[in-house]
Amino acid sequence: MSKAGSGRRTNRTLAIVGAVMLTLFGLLAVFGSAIAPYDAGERAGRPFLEPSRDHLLGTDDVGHDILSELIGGARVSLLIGVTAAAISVVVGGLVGVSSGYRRGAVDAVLMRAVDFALVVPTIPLLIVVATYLERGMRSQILVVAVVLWAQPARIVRSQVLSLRERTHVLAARTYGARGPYLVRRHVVPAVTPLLIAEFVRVVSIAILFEVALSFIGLGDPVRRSWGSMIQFATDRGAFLTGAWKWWILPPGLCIAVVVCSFAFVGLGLEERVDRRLGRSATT
Amino acid sequence: MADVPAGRRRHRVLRRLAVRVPQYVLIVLVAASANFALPRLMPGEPVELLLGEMANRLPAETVAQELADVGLDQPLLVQYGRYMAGLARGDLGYSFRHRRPVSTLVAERLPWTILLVGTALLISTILGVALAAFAVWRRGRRRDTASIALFTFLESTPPFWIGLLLLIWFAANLKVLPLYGTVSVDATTGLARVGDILLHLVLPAATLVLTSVGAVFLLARASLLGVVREDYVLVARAKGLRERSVAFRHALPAASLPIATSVLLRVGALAGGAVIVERVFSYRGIGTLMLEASFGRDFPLLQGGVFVLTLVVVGVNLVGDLLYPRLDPRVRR
Amino acid sequence: MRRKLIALFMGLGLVAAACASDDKPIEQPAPGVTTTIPQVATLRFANTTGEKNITPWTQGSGYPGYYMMTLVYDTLAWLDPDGKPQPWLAREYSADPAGLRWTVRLHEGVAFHDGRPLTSADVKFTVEYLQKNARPRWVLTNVDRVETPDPLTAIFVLKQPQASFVLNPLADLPIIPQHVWSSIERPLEQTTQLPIGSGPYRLVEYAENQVHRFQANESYIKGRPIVNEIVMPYIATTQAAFTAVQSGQADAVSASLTPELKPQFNQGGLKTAGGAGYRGWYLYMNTGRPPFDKPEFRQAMAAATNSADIVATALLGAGATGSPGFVHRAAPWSNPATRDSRFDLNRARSLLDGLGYRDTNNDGVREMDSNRLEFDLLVRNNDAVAVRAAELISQSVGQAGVKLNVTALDQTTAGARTWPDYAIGATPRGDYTIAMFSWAAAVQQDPDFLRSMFHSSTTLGTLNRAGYKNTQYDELSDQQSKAVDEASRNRILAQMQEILARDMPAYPVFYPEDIFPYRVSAFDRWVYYQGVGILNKATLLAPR
Repeated sequence: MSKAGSGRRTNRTLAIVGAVMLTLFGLLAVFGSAIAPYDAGERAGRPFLEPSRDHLLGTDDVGHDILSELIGGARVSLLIGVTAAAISVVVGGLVGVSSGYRRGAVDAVLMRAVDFALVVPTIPLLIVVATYLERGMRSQILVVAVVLWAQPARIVRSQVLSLRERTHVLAARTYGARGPYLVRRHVVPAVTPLLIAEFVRVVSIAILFEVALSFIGLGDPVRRSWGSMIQFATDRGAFLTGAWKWWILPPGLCIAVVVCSFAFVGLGLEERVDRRLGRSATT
Repeated sequence: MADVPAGRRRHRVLRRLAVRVPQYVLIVLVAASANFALPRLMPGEPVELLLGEMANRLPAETVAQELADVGLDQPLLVQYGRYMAGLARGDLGYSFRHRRPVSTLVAERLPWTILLVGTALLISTILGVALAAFAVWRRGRRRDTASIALFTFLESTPPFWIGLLLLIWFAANLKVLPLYGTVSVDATTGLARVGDILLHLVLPAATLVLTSVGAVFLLARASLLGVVREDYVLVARAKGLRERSVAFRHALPAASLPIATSVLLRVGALAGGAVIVERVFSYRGIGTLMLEASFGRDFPLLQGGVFVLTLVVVGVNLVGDLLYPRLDPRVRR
Repeated sequence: MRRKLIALFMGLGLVAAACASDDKPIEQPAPGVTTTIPQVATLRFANTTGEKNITPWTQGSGYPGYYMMTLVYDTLAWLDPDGKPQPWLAREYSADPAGLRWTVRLHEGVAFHDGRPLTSADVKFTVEYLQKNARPRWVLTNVDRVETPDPLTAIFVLKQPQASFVLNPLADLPIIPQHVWSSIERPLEQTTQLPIGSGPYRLVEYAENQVHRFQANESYIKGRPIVNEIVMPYIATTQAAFTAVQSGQADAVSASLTPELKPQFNQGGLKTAGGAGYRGWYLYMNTGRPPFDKPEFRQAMAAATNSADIVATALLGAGATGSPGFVHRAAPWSNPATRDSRFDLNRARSLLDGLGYRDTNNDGVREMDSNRLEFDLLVRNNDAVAVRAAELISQSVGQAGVKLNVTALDQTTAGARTWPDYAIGATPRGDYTIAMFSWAAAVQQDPDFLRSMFHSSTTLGTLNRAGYKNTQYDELSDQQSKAVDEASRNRILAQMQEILARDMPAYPVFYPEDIFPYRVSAFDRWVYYQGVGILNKATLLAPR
């Protein structure tokens, strides 16, 4: 049974809504600088201006146009989220395939690592790793990826394990098909939809993690992500001056909408994956 | 419905224990070993990584003494052995910044986080299950989509953002709730103190509940829907039992298994969320302790805190795992 | 019936007797004061720095830490709101013509909180104990010995004349009780034992990172404090602390408002007290690392920094620009010739051209041979104004062809790294090329700090974060330290500032204005102590 246990129609509607929102944000991320009224790093006006015709969301504490920063933030947050998710899913996929295919000692060791990574509370782990590494976008991506590879690994592994015993695979093996061929011809096509579904799930988490790290001060404040916008807003009295309405509310809403869109798309994908594989994909 | 003889049941539970417990023990060992390995692998001064940045400011003899205690001059295996022996004794190291043992600092702050996470877990579970039961028994396509959409959206909001908004509205603007802290600085005793603690708990717990009730709802709903199709429920309906009776006496207990286990397994995620939420409300739990340690480059304290938190989460996971056969009547069959 | 009446009268008599023997009803004003100032029962002063136990060895920050400590301990002299020292524990003090013997006469009847009298023996003990267990704030190497001819007289015998003697140690050194500290071997470990001093307040409760609670010392030598109890809760973030003041959960706060909040806090029962702050932000350059080892390069960086713009933008105008001579423009010894900063991009560019750095590949960044002018600008990440300032500096310096990558680190790391590539005494070496660093107000209150900041010797230049070495400067700073005559001292200081303006090891960028909010209804007698803050024990005493 699928996670939401809901009807096909519901899932499809939501998936479409999600896909549309994501496309919008994706376009924003790519072409944002053309649409935005000002350059995100430009000092477009006096600091702390309230929303007006010139600045639909006002200006921040240095005079950057908040709307432009919001649009620019889409690129940063999406980039970090997508890259981190891609790394985790690829690494997780590789681990899962090797583990499920090789079995034996390799499997045992890798699976214990997976168990560990799944059980350890993620944000504290994030904090520890972020404390040791240098600041910067690269290490932020790394930090998030380090924490999120385990679930894809486990899911892929269980899929590979069940695949090994399927009739068509067994048949291929009796005919003398070897590892690389099997992997290419049978494992990859079966595992790919899983990985895509996992990717979509992980991106949401990755974005939320990056935003959380920025907020607590373990991110890179110079990187104009949505999270650092909220951090500056909080530090410059946005809730005392009432500026939170246009400085804290919009970035948070954007984050929620993007993450939610990924989740909706995930709902739709999950359903397709379930149908294709004929059974529940989760262990 | 043949019942399993008591002996066989006990045997099954024991077998489960025998399999599960060593797995969890292994996880704890891996966590401890990672704690040991991390400072020794990372780039940076060994003194600073092992004793915290503050250690750099101590006189040279003290530093040499401490390093000798840690055994930095010894071969790696010896260091590992001493480290593990220390852990078994409950020795998590010393914080030079605070001049107190890490275990004391952690013990002071951990109960508050447990209080926060426990309360949030309880409330979000009750709320989520109740809402899900309501949603399942009053199904309708539009309402379905709306409720799934709403709760997924809630799950997608950054917890600290919700926390900040609650802080702005209730504490700063309406002024009905405290702005910060776990307890007010004026000494109160008895009932007044309990009330004070509860007041300070409201906003942080509400934030955690808002961001985690969605997941409980979605899961509970899925479980209940799955169960609703089961034979014995159909039989109950055919017998003419009222919907409510079907729900509470038959469906809910069956669905309770995945709900209960997933609730317990969510402790890890909730604990992580609590760390961020504690920061928003200056709530003095283990989350803020870890952040202080992180900013103060007090590595022993940071790692000690994470390790203890991991232990607690692993423990709860183990309980969830063990509870697995006991709650589901089908398994008992 | 009669027995009952007798009982009643006896009861009344007892009650009357009890009332009569009641010592001091709460509302009685302190002795010697003619006007009645209403007593304040409790003052809630939010603290945003994590102060530990407040003994001289465990106390943390300059403000409010030092001022919390001096609620409990007294000094021989004390600065007035304009920064001028006045006698405090001492009734009077004077130096002999050679400036080598300072005679300090104490007030009679000063007692510690446990009742024991404070005498010259305690003064002597304090000096000797601190010489043994040094603290960077009080350098007592120049005190040869303290003579105590009688319990109310202490004579400081110096090795050389000390121009700033009254400022530090007289007006700065807390006098500790001999009977408590003589048995303490390791003062750094005194984290739990509550301090005993002679000051107007006693620390009665302290929980680390939670609260400090002070109770008034009713028999204080300068009169009974106006505020009975001061509670200082610790609030981790300044924003939460400001919100607490606004909503009434706190009466005042130790942090200064960021300028955009000023309007919020001048209405609805709230007011602010403040003025030109002495706490400053400086651009530090590691003079040991090329290309920052060349004064022309450092000059170029300074010329490319637009301080006025930073004050106007990041501070919304609420601040002062820094002076190339390093000394705050309002200080009495500030050299007018080196007072004003000049933003001049053309000058910066021509200096860099002169050194041979050119942008040969048109990427906006200059280079020479294989050395690209790209560096990490360190700044601590918990001060939004500082991070913004760093960004602005990076932008304006970028226009001259030098790329600065703003690297925000946690405060401890940023501070630990901003030291030269060699150790200075107990301070381990650091690791930075260029960094933003903030000094507390104290360094601008005493010209002797100019020596600690830039002297090349590691025993005298204990705060030399730039690793600056200049023998002429060393000699001048030694001379000024002995120059008792104010005019000649100021001349020497002026010369030192010229050297600093020329060599530019560190460039003061801006000094934020201090804006301290408070609730009028709780306590409205706050006075801003020039450059420092509002928490000061003198404010809490009734005027005489």
